[in-house]
Amino acid sequence: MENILTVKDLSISFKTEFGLVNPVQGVSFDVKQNETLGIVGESGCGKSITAYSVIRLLPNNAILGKNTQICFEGENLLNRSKQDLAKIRGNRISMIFQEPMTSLNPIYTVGWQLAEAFTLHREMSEEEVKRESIELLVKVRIPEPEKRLKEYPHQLSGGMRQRVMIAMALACSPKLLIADEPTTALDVTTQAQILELINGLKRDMDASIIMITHDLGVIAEMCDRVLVMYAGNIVESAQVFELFDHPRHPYTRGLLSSIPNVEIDKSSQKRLSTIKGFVPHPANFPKGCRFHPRCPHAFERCIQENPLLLPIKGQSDHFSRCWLEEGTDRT
Amino acid sequence: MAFSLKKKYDDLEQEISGLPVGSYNQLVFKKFLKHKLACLGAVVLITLIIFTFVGPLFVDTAYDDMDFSAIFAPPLSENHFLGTDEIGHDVFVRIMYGGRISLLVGIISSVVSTLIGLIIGLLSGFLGGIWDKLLMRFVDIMLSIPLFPVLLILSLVFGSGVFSIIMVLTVFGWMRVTRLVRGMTLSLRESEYVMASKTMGQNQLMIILKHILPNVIPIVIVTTTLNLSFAILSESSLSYLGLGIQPPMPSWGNMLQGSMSYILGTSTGQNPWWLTFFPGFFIFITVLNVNFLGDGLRDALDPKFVSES
Repeated sequence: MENILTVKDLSISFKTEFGLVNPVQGVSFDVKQNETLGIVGESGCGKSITAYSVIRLLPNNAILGKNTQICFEGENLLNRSKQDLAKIRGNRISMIFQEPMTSLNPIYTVGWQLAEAFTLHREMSEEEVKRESIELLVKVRIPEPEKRLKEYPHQLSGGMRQRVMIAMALACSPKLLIADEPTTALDVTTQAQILELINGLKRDMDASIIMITHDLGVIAEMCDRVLVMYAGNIVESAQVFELFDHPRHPYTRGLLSSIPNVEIDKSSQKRLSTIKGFVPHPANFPKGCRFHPRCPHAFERCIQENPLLLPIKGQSDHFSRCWLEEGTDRT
Repeated sequence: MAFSLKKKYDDLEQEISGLPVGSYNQLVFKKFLKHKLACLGAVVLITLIIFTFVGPLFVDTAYDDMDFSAIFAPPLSENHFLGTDEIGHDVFVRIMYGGRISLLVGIISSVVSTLIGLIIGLLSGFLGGIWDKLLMRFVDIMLSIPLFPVLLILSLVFGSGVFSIIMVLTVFGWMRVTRLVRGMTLSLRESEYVMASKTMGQNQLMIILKHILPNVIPIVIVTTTLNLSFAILSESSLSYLGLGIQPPMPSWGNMLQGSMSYILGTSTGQNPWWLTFFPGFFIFITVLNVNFLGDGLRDALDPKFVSES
């Protein structure tokens, strides 16, 4: 399949009072057509700013690395003018946010906000906007769409608002949808509905998705391929089943084993296992492998050098960034 | 039958859900009407404006006509409904003429200074960086200028009059609004719906105009009403310094100021309380009702606010 988005050697740094901090370093990945790529990791691993960098909406004080390349449908987004980028945003790449409660402007009706999404990129008459808005609300399964158009965000529930956000993101049939923890703020049943909705729409609209989350359940449900990020690096990447069945990196294993499981824990009286410690602040990432202070398998070499993200022996699409691979499978 | 049932059902449903129907403007208007005090404020202010701007046309006496036969005449005396002052000026007539000036000065200077503050605040908050720093330091400088010496100098340069007083109140009145609007803009700029709008490809100017400005307006309206009261009151102290409205031309402010000499009674032992009371009363009524109006407008403009009734 063709790559719709290629990110090469993405490094983002910020000038701060601690000096130059580097929350994302050497991240390369691509998104294929019709694929859902998951990016998973704890808070503060650089998932979100990686996604924001794709639509070039980093804060003003962010500096991209010299060798960074971001290519979308074959065009390099880095040498685009602001106007060009504005034409791409919302039109060909759009985004869904975490917080449906605050992502809609409280003073405008749902209809107004949908109309904004439409008319930014297309010339449409008022009736067309109304007709297509209703169509779109039906698509995201909002009951009584005509009535909802006249309502304000505070009159909708969280799930409804997230549906409206999705509708806005899909208004111009984008090729790539970036979903930044789209279900984190919703309750579990609503979560399932929204995920199912996004999945269905993806199939209908022939789009690709980057799904950012810290919920491995969401990953299992939605994604084809997964990137595991830790402290600004990709530490492992694999097809979703491969990752769940044969996790290689100690961080991935840690994440997987810290999913609570009611049945097992009840019988064995075992406490839920966790990864000890915290994600380090970007200003003081440790030397060597960034995971070594929390890694149960760390040894001398891990403290000295950061390993590279290399394929695991015998597999072309499973990568891991760990010295443990060195001695065993890797030559 | 079926139709009326359906209609009844709709009404009922609306009553239950509490969801108002109608366009935005209709909703604002409806909500405003529900706010009793705001309606009172609007009615009183309109009455005051008619009274001061149209009223003088129906009165023969001019504001500087002196009736020497009735000096310090109390209210309700013959020909002088609200009494007269120390040189026989009719207080009722002067209240009307004075109201013209006070309302004009108050409304124009508070609206213009709010607009200036709004624009500078929005730019400063949204552009950020060097622009923000420059504009905010300018605000600091303006705020640290000692007002009264400058006013004295300005009064020498520009002379006195309605125009110069409006200008002074405007030039020294926009900074608070700027700071307020800048603060709100800073927080709104980081809000998720502004981010969402950016990801949809909206440009900066439109984000300011469509997403930030309307969210700032309710606060700005309240500030404008406060500024209006401030402007009406400071006009009186400025007139006292020789900048602004000079007698015999009346304003509520300088009428109040003029009455200060008699507040403990005249040399003949009279106590002309009406000279203080009526201008003060009109200033009070105006400021109070402007605040009612502002309150009602703010609530009506906020779609989240549902009145208790």
